[in-house]
Amino acid sequence: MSGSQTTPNQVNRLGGLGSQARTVALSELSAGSRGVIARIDEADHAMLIRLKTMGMHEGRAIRVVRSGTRIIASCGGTRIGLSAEVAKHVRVTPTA
Amino acid sequence: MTTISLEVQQPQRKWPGRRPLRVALIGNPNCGKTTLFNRLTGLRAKTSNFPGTTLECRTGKVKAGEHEIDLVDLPGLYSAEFGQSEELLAADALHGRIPGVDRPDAVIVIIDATCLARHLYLASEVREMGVPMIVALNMMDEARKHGLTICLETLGKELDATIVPVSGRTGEGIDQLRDAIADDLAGDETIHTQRATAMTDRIACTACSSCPHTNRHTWACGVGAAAGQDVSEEAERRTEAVDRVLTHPIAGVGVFSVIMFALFFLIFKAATYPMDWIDAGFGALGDWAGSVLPEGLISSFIVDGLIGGVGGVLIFLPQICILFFVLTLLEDTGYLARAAFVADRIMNKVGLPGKAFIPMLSAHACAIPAILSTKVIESRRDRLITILVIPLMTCSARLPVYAMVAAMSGTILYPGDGGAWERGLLGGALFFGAYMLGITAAMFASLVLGKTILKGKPQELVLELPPYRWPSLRVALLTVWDRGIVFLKQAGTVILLLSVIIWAAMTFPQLPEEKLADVAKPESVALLAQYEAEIQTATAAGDTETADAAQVEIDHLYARYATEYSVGGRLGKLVEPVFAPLGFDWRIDIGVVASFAAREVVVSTLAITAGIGEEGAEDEGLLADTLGSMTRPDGSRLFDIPTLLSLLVFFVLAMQCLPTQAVAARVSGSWKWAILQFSYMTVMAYTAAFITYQVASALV
Repeated sequence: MSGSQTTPNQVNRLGGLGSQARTVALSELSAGSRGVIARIDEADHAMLIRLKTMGMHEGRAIRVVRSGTRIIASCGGTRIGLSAEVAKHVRVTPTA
Repeated sequence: MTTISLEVQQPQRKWPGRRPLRVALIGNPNCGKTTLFNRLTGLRAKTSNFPGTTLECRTGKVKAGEHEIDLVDLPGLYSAEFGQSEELLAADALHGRIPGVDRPDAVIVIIDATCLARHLYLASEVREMGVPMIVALNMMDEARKHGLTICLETLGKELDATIVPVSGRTGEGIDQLRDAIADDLAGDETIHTQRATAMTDRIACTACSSCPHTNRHTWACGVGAAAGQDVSEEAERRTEAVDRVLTHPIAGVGVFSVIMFALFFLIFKAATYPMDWIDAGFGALGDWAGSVLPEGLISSFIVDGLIGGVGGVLIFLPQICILFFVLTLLEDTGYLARAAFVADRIMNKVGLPGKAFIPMLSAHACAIPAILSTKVIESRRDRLITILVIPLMTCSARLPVYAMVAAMSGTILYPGDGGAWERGLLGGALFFGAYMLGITAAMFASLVLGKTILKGKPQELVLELPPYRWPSLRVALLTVWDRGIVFLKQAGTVILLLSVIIWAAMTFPQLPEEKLADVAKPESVALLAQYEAEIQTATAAGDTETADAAQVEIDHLYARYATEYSVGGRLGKLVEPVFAPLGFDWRIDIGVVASFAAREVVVSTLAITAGIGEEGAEDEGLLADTLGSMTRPDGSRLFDIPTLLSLLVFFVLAMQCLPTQAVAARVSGSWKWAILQFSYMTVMAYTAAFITYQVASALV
């Protein structure tokens, strides 16, 4: 699961990559999308650790409830409101 | 790195014997901790700070069997290891890392039965600390409603702890929890020592991740799945449907505005009744004391200093209680989290997080509860800025000043019996302008502070949006009780002391009655002679009514010159050159000087210096007329429009409330911040009032 650093653009260009490698930033998913958290980039340490203690961690299923500059994501029965700035660091493998 | 270093200490059971067992109550935010705490302790809780910290904690006695334990309610935390500000301090308290505070002897961890997996994370951390632990499985009523079944045996085995299903809301299981405390924590020593085994043995760590969170979560998810299940997505849908409206960028702000408008309507409307009762009660008490006590210094001290001072604080209590009552209900329903979510984008524009909004809004009632509620703001920078700008909001204590300015400018601009409409409109415009000035100044100040002294960006939003729940009236009432007492203790002691100091400054040195004629102005001396003559003729004619009326006038004259003669009065004259560019003369300055301790005293002080006595402040029309007739040495009106505007601007922006400063110092952890707050606000108030006066004088 690690090493999936392709941006959505690259993914589009490469087209046929397996779903394993296709990750999208949480901030770019539209409301209603589902996925599995692939990785949480360590940028803003404090806030990302907070996300993790709230139950957002690698391998967990996630669902976007509201998108925009302020996002609501449902993960493990918990709804978390987060800014797009934080959500940028959460990489998600979209599922159907 | 495939293993996590989880050292499990053998629980050391030391029944302290002499002192009661200290048990910490911990849990994630929104796990219903406060409700459970209140269930266990009732009204026997005390709020205090951990020594040397800004961490507030509530402690209460709980009867468990024949034992009595001290239950400590720590702030909600997601993790005992990671966190910020309050959360970190709570974790420190849990680990015994706060100097002077012992580690708790045992811990009760609260787990939300409807969201097992996430809450097990914290429980697993506590388990590894090796402290004796009981797990209270809260919200069982709700879990049943959702059709969840939870295997207590599996959970108990995995956590090595007694699991007690409870519901803080219905009171179910509370007795069993007391029994468990008595049996497990206060009881035999052997129970726990056998239990500890390293969690590392239990975690089937297959993921090759070095992330300890993931391992712990994997364990928590596994146990959660084995013991029960989480609320279905179906149940979540209902919450989400409501959220679609309440967190909508436009509709959400609309709902938010309506709720906040209703809150303030309640604060200003419903609070009027109890405020009137308090006012009338203290007035009656003062009258009674004044009639019983022999006239003189002691009577003045008790009536004006003590009774007046205490009444001055208590009058704000109803507003504060209503504020806390409604805010607690809103928080309980889960709405406040949505409000912070919606406000985040707006607040970010002035460099503050969404969570700063509610404290800043509360500040429109009173800055003290507002500053106390800034604890929810995680980042220290954000919290400090919020505390620093909160007193710029128009609090209730400023309203008498606004009303006075509105009445007087109305009389000047629209004199006569007509013009009631115009006066009303003018008053509305002045009030609105004053509120807006305060809000704009706060936004400006937070932008400047955030770019200079407290450089940085507001903390990014990461916030749990708990499921909507029916609020508990019991919790709200207990919070009001608790907060009310904190307010009375913190503000009451300070303001009482200040009232005594103000009273002394405005009383001493005393003006001997026979010296009145020496210090009074010629026209006052003439008036004095006139009243005395009136009394003589009236008494001779047996007209006591006229005689009494004349005596009251003499008393007012005396009060006016006595104030002028006092330390406060002299100080007013001393600072006259400082405030002259703002259009204030020494008589206004006396009011300004007195109001630096508490701004609501300015109106009554002005009434005294105007010579109509303190009771003259109650009669708005009389006050406006009398103050309106005061003149400057050159014969022009003292309270002209430029002076009134300048006075209004000064009172909107100046930091004139020592009790607020005391609370700001306490919550921020240092007087340094309170002093900065006083300095920047005073400079800003002076500058703005100066500009207002100079510009208005040039235009009028």
